[in-house]
This record gives sequence, C-alpha cells and structure tokens, in this order.
Amino acid sequence: MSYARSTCSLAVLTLALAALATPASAQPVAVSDGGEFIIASTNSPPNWNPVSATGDITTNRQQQWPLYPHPFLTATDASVTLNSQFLVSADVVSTDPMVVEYVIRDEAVWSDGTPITVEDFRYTQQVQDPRACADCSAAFTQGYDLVSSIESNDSGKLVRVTFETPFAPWKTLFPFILPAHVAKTYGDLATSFNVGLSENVPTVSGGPYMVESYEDGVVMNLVKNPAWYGNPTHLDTIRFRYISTIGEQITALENGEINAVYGGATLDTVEQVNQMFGVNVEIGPTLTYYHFSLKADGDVMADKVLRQAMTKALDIADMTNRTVGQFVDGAVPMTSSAYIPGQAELEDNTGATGVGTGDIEGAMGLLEGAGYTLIDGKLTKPDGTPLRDLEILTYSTDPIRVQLAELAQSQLAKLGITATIDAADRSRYTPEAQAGNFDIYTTATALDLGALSLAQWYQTGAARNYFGYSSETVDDLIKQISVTLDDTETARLTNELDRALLADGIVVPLFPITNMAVFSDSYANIFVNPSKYGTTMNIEEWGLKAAN
Amino acid sequence: MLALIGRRLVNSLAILLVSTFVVFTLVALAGDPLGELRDRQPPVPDNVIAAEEARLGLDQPIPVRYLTWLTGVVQGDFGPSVKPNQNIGAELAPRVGVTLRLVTTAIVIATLLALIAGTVAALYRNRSADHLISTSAFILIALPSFWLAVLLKQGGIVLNKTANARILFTVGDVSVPAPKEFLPLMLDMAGHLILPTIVLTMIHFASWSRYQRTAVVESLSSDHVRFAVLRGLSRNRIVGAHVMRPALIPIVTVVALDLPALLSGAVITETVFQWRGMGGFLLESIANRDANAVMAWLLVAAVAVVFFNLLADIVYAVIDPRVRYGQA
Repeated sequence: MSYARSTCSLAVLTLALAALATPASAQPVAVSDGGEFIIASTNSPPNWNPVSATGDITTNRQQQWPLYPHPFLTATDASVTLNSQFLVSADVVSTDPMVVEYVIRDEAVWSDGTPITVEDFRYTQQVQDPRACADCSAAFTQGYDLVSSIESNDSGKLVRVTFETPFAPWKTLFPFILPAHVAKTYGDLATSFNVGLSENVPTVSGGPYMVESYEDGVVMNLVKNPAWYGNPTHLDTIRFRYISTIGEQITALENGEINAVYGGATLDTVEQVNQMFGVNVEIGPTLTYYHFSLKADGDVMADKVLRQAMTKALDIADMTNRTVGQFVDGAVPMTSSAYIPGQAELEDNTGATGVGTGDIEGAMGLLEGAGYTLIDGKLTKPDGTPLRDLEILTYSTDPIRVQLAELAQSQLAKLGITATIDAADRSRYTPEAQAGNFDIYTTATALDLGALSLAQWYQTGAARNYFGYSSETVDDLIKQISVTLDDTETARLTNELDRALLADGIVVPLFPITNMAVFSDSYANIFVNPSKYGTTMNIEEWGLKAAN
Repeated sequence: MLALIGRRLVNSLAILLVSTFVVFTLVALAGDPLGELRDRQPPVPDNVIAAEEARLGLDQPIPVRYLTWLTGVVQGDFGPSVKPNQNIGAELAPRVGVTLRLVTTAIVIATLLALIAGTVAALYRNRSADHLISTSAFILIALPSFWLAVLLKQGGIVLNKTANARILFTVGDVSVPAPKEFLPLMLDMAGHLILPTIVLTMIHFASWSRYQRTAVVESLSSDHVRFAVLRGLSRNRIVGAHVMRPALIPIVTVVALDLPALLSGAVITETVFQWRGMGGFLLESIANRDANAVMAWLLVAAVAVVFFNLLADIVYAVIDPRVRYGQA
C-alpha cells in the first residue's frame, strides 16, 4: 500500500465499527481490479501440509486456504454451502451403504494445467486413512477410515465415495484436496505426505492464488493463479506478513506498514483499534465457544445433585457481560453446548434445563433436598463433613479464561463452595486436565464438526473425556447422530444430546470466542469467518473499493 | 598473552559444558513441547503423537537426550526442532547477522555517547552540564526498555503522520517488499534501524556514562595528572593524553561484561520491533519448549560472551601500558 493512499484514508477519518453479536450473512461490495494487500499473521507455516498433524493450526489453515480446492464453504453466518466454483454437485446418493458423489467442474485444474480429478480425492483420502497409510502423520482420520472405495468415470471428474458405515458429518471431509500428481513426485504415500508436501513450499495451486515467493518468518507472497477456474480474483498480490503479536500488528497497521490484522478480539485490542482512523473494524463470533466442564467422578463431583446445583448457580449472562460484553455490543450468551447463537438449529437448552441461570435459591433447594446444609457459610455434605475446596483449572495465558474462573469462584461462593483457581500455562494445562487434576475445567470447544465435537469430550472413553463421565443415553445419542444423514433429524438429536449433557451437570456453555478483522478502509470484502479456516475463505472477493 | 587466552578458553569450555547441561535439563523439565498437539480439537491420532515423541527424542531419558544433543553439536548438528520444517543451524546464521547488526550499531553509538557525556560530566563536576547529564542518565536507567520501545514506536507514527511520509518503521529490519534500488534500500534499512537502535543505545549509554564519569573523576585526582598540571601542560593535552586513556579501562570492562545484558536487551527490542534476530529465536524456542533450539541460542550467546571478554583482555593490553609491561 502506498503511503499516499494510507494518508488519504486517514484523512477521510471514517471508522466503521461493526460489532456483531451473532454471525450474520455478509454481502460483498464492488471492488476494482489490481493492487496489493498485506495482512499480518502471527505464525509462518510450521509445515506446508495443511492436513498434517503439525500443519493443521489456525494460522496455517488460513494462509493455505487460497492454494487448494475445497468442496464446501462456511459462510459468515456459519451456514455450510457447496463450493460451486469447484464442484458441480456433492450429494449423498445412497444411504445403505452410504455413497457420496462429488462432481468436479470440467474447468477445475491445478495451476500447472493438470486436471483436478478423482486421483486427488483418492490420495487425500488414503493419506488420512490409517488403514492405507499407517505412517502418515495426519491431523484427522475420522471418516476417512470408514471409506471402503473411491470410484470414478472415464474423465475422472466424478468421485464416488462409498462408506463402510454411514458418516453423518461427511461435509467436513476433504477440506483441502491435495495434488496427487505433485505428491507422486515425492515418493510413496508416507514420504510424500510427511516429507514432500510438508517440507516444500507449494509450487502448484488449485485455488485462486499461488505462492510466488516465501521468506521464512518474514513474508509469503501470493499472486493470482493464472489457471484459476472460479470467480475472478481482484488483488494482484497478497502478502502474509509475519508479526508475532497482535499488539505489534495493530501498531504496524497504524503506521501503514500492513493493511490488515485478523485475530482474536480482546478488550485491549478492540480499544486500541477503536482509536484508529481510516480503518474498518469487524467483530464477529466464531464456532468456538468457552465453557466449563465438570468432573463426573471422584469423592464429591460424582454426586450429580452437587453438579446440577453448581451449574444452576453459575450465571452465564453475567459472565458474558463482564467479559466479552465489555467490547462486543450486545454479546449473546450461549443457550446450548451444540450450537452458537445465530445458528438455525439453536434451541434454548440451558433455559430448559436451568443451567447457567445464576439461580442461587434453586441451587440451594437442590442441595438441601439431597441433604447438604449450609453451616457458617460453608457447604456441608449429607454425612456432616464440610465440602472440600474445589479446584478450577484454567489457562493462564488466556485472560478471559482466567477471568471466567474468577467469576465462577465468586458465584460458587454464594453456595458456600470454596473454589481455588489453578491457572496453568500451556505446558501444564493439558497434562493437568489429562491427569484429572481438577473439579471444574475452563476450556473451549470448536463446533466445526457438529455433534462430533461434543463426542470427543463426553462419549464414554473418548480421547478428551477427562471427566470420568459416562452416560448410556449420551453414548446412544452420539451413535445415532453419527449415522443420521437427515439434517433436521440430526439437529433434533443433537439438541436432545445437548439437553442430556446439561441435565447431567457436566457442561456450562458460556459464549463464543470473537474474532476481529481490522483493515484499511480503502479495501473491502474482508469478513470475520466463524469457521476454523478463517477469513481467507472468500479471498477471491477481496479488493480495493471501487470508485463510485 | 597466549597462555592467558588459553586458560580463559579452557575455563569457558568447562563453564559452557556445565551450563548447557543445566539449561537443557531446565528446558526439558519446563513443559511438554507437544502440549499444543495433544490439545488439538479433534484429537490428533495417538500414533502421530508417538511418532513426534520419537522424532524429538522425548521417549528417552533427559541424560540420554543431552548426550545425543552434545554428540550432534560436535558434528555440527543442533538436533531436531519442535517445528518440523526448521533446521536450527540454518535458521541461526542469518539471525546472528541481524542481531549483530543491531547490537553492534548500538554498542558503537552508546560507547561514543557514554565517553563524551561521562567525560563532560566529570570535567564540569557539580555544575549545570553535570547535573543535566546525570539527571538524564538516571531517568534513562530507570526506563524499562519495553516501555521505551513502545513509546518510541508511537512517536515514530506521529512523526510519520506529521511529515506525511513513512520515515520510521515499526516492524522488521526492511520493508516488505524491499526496495530494489541500492539507495532506497539503504534508506529503508536505516528507517527500520533508527528506533530499535535508539532503544538499545539509550538504555546502555546511560549506565556506561556513569562509569565513565567516575573513571574520569578518579583520573583527574591522580598524581600523574597533578604532575602534568604542575608541568604547565595545556588542558586539552592533559585531558586527552593523561586523563582519558586510563579512564578507558573501566568502560572497556563494563562494555565487555554488559554484552550478555545487551543481548538480553536485544531480546526485548527485537520482539517489540519484530526483528528476526536471536532474541525472537530465543523467545519462540522457549514458548515452544524447544530444548534443542534454546541450546543453540545459548551456545551462540556463550561464544559471543567469551569472545568479547577475550577482546576486552586484549584491549586492556593495548590501552594500559602496565598490562604490557607486566607481560614483558
């Protein structure tokens, strides 16, 4: 960006603050062709393979999104739609066995002219299926390991995927289609996946932009993919500038050294950008939300009534107002642990179960009914011994999680429960949780996978079930959801699952994590995208505002 | 002199060996470098985590890991990084260059300023110039470098807006994309160098000028200076030949001993200004619990400290005849 344009923008002194409490559909505006755009990113790619275990991180997914074809897109209102730039269709054509047919557009080619075909789908499936490649370091294997065959027609543009057992969240599969013909040059499946595609800067692109050059830890330069088959791109050059903290990114934006900052919103950063002129500020929720999850076994937490009383006494609305409500106008609390506010499937399940209402009287009633008593302000168990201090495990590097733990501590004190806070850093946070060294866990969940996101926490024996929680009802509902292909029925079952979890006093959903996009007001169509893939999902629409 | 250098090197090697083991152990115990990987949603498959543990040697006891690291270092291999695509050795070389560019510029300017300010303050002791210099020095010593850096960045932005041109930069050591012509490139690099250099210079100039002032004051009251005055030598000759030269010894010692502190200061300055130097490398490595990368930083920093201390010893001999005569 030239300095002249920057100062011109500053002279306009416009500040467009769009703080949205719920995800909303964003409409692109007219932009002109040409120009360059510099957006900051906190991390350079740790690994060039976006579906590998070490490469599957937020900043990397966002930077590499413009380089690959994707079957589905997440809109700014969190709805998932077919990417018609890449596919003609993608449908479930049979339910027993489950068969999904993807039809690739004839025009879809890699930047070197090689057609994008079934071979690319097949390779992408194999490297994420431990049965086909046990040594491939894939980040995610669920669903891929249920595929029994991938067939095609003569042109290779039809991809017919047959599953051994139904996989309901099939739309989450193949978020990045990898180039099989490039992988082949690196060797076998494991070598190409773990080494070839991971260690080498991509030279071929199947998306709107391609890598022109890369300077490690400094910048990645993208230029238009000349073989791009989708909607026309506008910006000639897009640069990802690596600046490790959002505070320094904002200063660089203020000085005109970059054009955009995208990342998590906090009170400090929002106040900082609100002081700036000539920038647009968009704030929006993501599909990741904060929540408390409670231990379900052990000396005191195994008591369901105690958990129910605690989850009833916690006040979700108050916590929302005192944290994210300080910088997001009309921040909306969660009413479900399965859907965020604004999603069509959302139901008021916390209201239905009385969770998170801050109802101290109701909570005390539950406790007294079970034989608990309040003696000298301290909750005493039915056996007459005082309830021991409970431990809230939280994440020290996230100020909001620390604040949430403090709010829970003060709200539980009203029940005569003393809670101590263990603010663990990154090295201790997960190990402490895995070891079960907590009573209440302050954490966050990404809902990109729908009910599967809940299954990873609450299904009996699940990888992240640190709570000792087990429920036949919940397990049965998860099982049903995983094979249900009807969206309406999935939503009904998911809400039922949510209510079962809430009624068991195992989870208290709080509010979605908010992201912000701050960019020079001479540019347009940069939106907060609620998915884990981030703002580059509509990168072909980005551009300099068209002159009126 | 050679024997002295030899003894110093042997001592340094022993210290280096012990310190590397202590630091390696501390970093290894500081936390799980795969914590982020284990915390992913949805969970990363167990076999993938096991493969990463094996790659990083986390499945081995710490002494074995240390010996593996030591054996590798002797052969020029710094070991695997937590960041799979990072070759620690290849990463370090350009970063050392970046840090040295910043630190060397700051050392030269800070030393010159300290010599001038300290000498002027001593020559005009307890007068206005001394009060002004001393007060300024104490204020600068009290300023945290982080705060000064942030303040200067904001000042730079205001200056740019006032001048309606981008003269000063707040991130990096060169613009992206960098100018292609030589002169614009030099100007661009200078624009990036100014603010971080001011931060590093100001912090160290202030304390060094106090040492210089004390050294000159002591030198002024020494017998040989009194004798020179009695001989009727000019003021300039007395200051230049009989006061300044012996007064240089303390400042050389302080600068040499302050080098580790200067490198530490560069960690903060590089982070605030997003210079891709040794400072950023250290912070990133610590954040990632990357023991091998931290050890590589430690080695480079330790070698730099040993080298500058040796340099100080040699400079003593040059500026202090007593050292040379003692050797003879």
